[in-house]
Amino acid sequence: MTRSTPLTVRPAAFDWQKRRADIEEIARDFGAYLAQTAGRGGGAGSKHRELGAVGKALQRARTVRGDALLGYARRVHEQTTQNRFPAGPVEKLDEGLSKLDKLLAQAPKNAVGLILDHVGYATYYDVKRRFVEFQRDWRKYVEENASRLNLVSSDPRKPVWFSQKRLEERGPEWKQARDEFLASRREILAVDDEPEEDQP
Amino acid sequence: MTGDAGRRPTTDDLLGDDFGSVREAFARVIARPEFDWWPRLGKARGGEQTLLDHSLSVLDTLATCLPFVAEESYPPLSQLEVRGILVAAFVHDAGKASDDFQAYLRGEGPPSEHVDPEAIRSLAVAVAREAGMDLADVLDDVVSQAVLHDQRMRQNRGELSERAREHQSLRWRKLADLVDAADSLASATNVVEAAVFLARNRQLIGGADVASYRTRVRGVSTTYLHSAALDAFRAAGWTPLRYFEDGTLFIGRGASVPDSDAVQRQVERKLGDLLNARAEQLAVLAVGTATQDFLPSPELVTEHNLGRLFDVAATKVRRKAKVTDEEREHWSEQWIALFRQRPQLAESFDGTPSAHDLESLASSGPEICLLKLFKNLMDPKKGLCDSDDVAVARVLYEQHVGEGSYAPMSQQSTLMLVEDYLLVLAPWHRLSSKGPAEGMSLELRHLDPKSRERRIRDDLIRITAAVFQNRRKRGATLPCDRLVAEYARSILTDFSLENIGPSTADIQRNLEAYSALKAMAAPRAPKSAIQCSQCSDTIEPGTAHEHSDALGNRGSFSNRRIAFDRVGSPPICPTCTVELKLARLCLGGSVRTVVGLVPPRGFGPTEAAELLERANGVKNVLDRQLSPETFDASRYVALSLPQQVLRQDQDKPLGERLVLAVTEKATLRNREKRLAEALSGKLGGDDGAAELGRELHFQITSTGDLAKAIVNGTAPRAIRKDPDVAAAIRAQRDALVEFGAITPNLLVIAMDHEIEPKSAADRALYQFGLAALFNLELHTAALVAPPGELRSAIACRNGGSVYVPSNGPARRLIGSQWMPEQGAGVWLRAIQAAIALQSSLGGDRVGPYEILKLPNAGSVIRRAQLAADKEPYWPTVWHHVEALKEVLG
Repeated sequence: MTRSTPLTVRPAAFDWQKRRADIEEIARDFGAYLAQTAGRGGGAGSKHRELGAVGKALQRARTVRGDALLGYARRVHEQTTQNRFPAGPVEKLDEGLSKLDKLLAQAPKNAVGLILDHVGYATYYDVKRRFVEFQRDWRKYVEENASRLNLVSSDPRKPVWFSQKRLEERGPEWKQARDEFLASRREILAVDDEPEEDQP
Repeated sequence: MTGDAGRRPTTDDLLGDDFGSVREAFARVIARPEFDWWPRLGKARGGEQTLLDHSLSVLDTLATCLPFVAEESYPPLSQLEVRGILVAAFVHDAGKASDDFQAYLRGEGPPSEHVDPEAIRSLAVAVAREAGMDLADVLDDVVSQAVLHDQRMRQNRGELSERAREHQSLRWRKLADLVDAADSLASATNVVEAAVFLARNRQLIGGADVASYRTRVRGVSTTYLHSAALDAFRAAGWTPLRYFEDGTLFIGRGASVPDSDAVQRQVERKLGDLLNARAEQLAVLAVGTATQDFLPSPELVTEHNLGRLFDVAATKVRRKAKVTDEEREHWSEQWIALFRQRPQLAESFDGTPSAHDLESLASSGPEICLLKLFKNLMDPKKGLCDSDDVAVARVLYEQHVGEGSYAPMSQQSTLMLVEDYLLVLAPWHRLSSKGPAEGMSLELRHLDPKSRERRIRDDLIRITAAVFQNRRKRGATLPCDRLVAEYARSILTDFSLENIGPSTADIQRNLEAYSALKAMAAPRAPKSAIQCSQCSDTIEPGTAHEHSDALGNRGSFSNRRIAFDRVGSPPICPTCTVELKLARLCLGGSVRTVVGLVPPRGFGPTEAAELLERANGVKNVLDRQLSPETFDASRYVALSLPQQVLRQDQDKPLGERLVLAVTEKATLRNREKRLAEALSGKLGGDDGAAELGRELHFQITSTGDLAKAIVNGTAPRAIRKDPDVAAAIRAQRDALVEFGAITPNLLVIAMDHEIEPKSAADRALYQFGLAALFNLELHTAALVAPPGELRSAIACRNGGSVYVPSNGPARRLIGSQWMPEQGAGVWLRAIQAAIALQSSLGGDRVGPYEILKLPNAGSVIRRAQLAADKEPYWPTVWHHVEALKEVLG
């Protein structure tokens, strides 16, 4: 009679802290996608609204993986942005989802929910971070141009960013400030986005 | 270079200069902006040693050993050789100051070369110039001696390239070995490692002898042990070489090692000094609380402080100015119930309390406390009296108050106002106000409460003094007579002379104690050995375990143990009991939080005194910033480090700079008062102050005005520079320093202001944050915790820099018992951020602990949006979110 060696299994807890860098990288991709698709200046809203297609895709990722997940995210993107062009910002969404798919494939089933929560909140942090940078720039702009454009604010340290609708109530000087500010940001973005010239 | 005939040359003799001033000159150079060593590290090891500390440590080690080396050197060491080697010792790690190497030490960069001959040369030139040394001829010797401290440079091509330099001294290589040995010895992490190194490498000490002692680190008592051992070894002719928290290493020639008795004598002397210095506070420490043990420390009672004892006792329960309806009803119920139990009371009182009775009850608290103290003083269990003394006390008491009055008094237990009033105090109130013999109609109860209290106090003091006098006549002693010897004996149990590890006798004693405890057959005795809840030592047979002051569970409820079993009465060994009592005595009262600092290795007594002064300065600043007594969390966020102030005003003395760090709202605890008293002594009262003001054209009329102006910073510099004023400022600062237990090995000081957050985890986090501040400011290993935690904290330090108090949730959150310096800084910022965002995240309902338990920074933002009515304006608080992100992710 042959004696078989018993098979032993040593269960080890999934250390998601070690995956923190991966999670943040995915969140950066999603953040970059949302920065280009969501309305500039963010705005108050639910988390679902702010995360757009990313939030929907993260929900679906609990049960669906691979191309099905990518396809689902694409469809949500098309519906929310009314844009069917397959390149541009949506490529960042694809990249992030591919990385997420890879990360989830390595994780045990019971860690999937935790990872998705972390990715969701990390993306939300990234969206907020960009919005805070935008607010800081706006505050600086208002401080520098307040006297020139005759901008009167209730609290100069916390100038509010007005939506198009409320702009009518605030007066033409704020509309001018808003337009100038957005134009200057577009210039900066254009310069940043310009590819480097090839060296001869 | 030799000293006087028959005397070993000192370092000053060999150097041809004052070593202290040369050392200061060296330290001055590296503080210059072009070197800027202040924040740079010398070793990784959790950032526990700065580059400056390490360099000074190597310099001091070599300077201490040089006289012994010089004795055996032939031809004698020249002045130039000595100067060169000391400079080489100081500058040997100059290359470590580079940004690349610092990044490597902090774990933020790849490995980098730290032996840099050019950096060594330029620093050597600078320090030699500052110290007034001309080392031009031996500069190559200095560079080689410094370079060869590194093991890699001593091999193969490294050494060959050093040999290519033009050396002045023929024995430059031998002297390089001394620098290398001093570096290794200064890098040893404990006394055993240092002793073993010297046993194997004798070039630093030649034929000299080495001795050491070890202690088990317990806390304040350890500082007394270190200090006593240092004095005993010095008296026996030894020179201290290296200081560690658990022992000191000495060097000497032909000296005999002092025995434990010599150390015990020193401890007794120091304890005697402490008791004399704290004579005023003994009574405060001796008297407990009315609802628990009223005389927890009978050993602090002497015949001379009876008056103060009774004064303190009378303050334990205050008179009530107004009786509420609730109290009136409650007391009436108790009154009626007592009458049912003791019908004989009807002879003297009505069945229900009259308005006058209720008024007497309301004002009887202090008087009952006086009687309660008297009862405790006469209680044989307290050890102040035996049965003979009790008999004397009974006679005297009954002669004074009346037949049968002693028994109810001696049966008093926990404070019960109505019962104590009816059974114990009422007989006193019926005494004649002029004395019992005269039988006048005016009785004590007719007097005002204050006069009544004074009369009872004086009578009880007279009876107690007579009882103690009678006891003395019989040749019996009081516990206070044995206090110093018993404390010293207890403290000495932690002391070990050159015993590395436990001795056979120690093991035997522990085994015997274990067997004896197991053999205890009393029904309620533990079935297994008892371990002290603080130090984990076995409690020796025959010594009762006691309640713990540190754990705050000292209680006299007879059902406490039944209800909570041993959890309600944790065992504590006699040595730890002494430690806790000594801490209270030394740190100026009942201390709930102490700051423990382990100085960087290589500190000497001078540096330790300086560190204590700086630590006290930081503590006072933090204390002021954390006042008032009710802790306001928002103050915690605004804590400013004195170091930031030090950098702003480098030309001003430390004390003045610290004053500048105080926020306007913070109150200065007695500071103005103390300074005014000191100024009054120096200037001869208000007239002197006014005259000084006239001389210097500053409007002041009294020493109080002057003190106020100095404390709030409006006094002109000319006034501060006046010799008398400067002396008074120094004296006032020294008065603060007295509340510290100081040795070069360990410092313990008390925090004045308690932090009282809602949860224990938050309290631990606040304490951890304070320790991080001390660490950042002073670059020492720091812990802020209850005094009872000192021992276990230092025992598990293992090179850590900031202690996390013993709280499960806080430790799980932070992840360790001790944190390295960088990690502690990150956590401090996160704790401050959590407090700053608290109002946005749910206000008082969530503490910093709950916030730091959130899964990540994104959830913090989301929670702020959901919890508050209005979302915070993120640009102004975003740095807090980023600080939280560093720890939460």
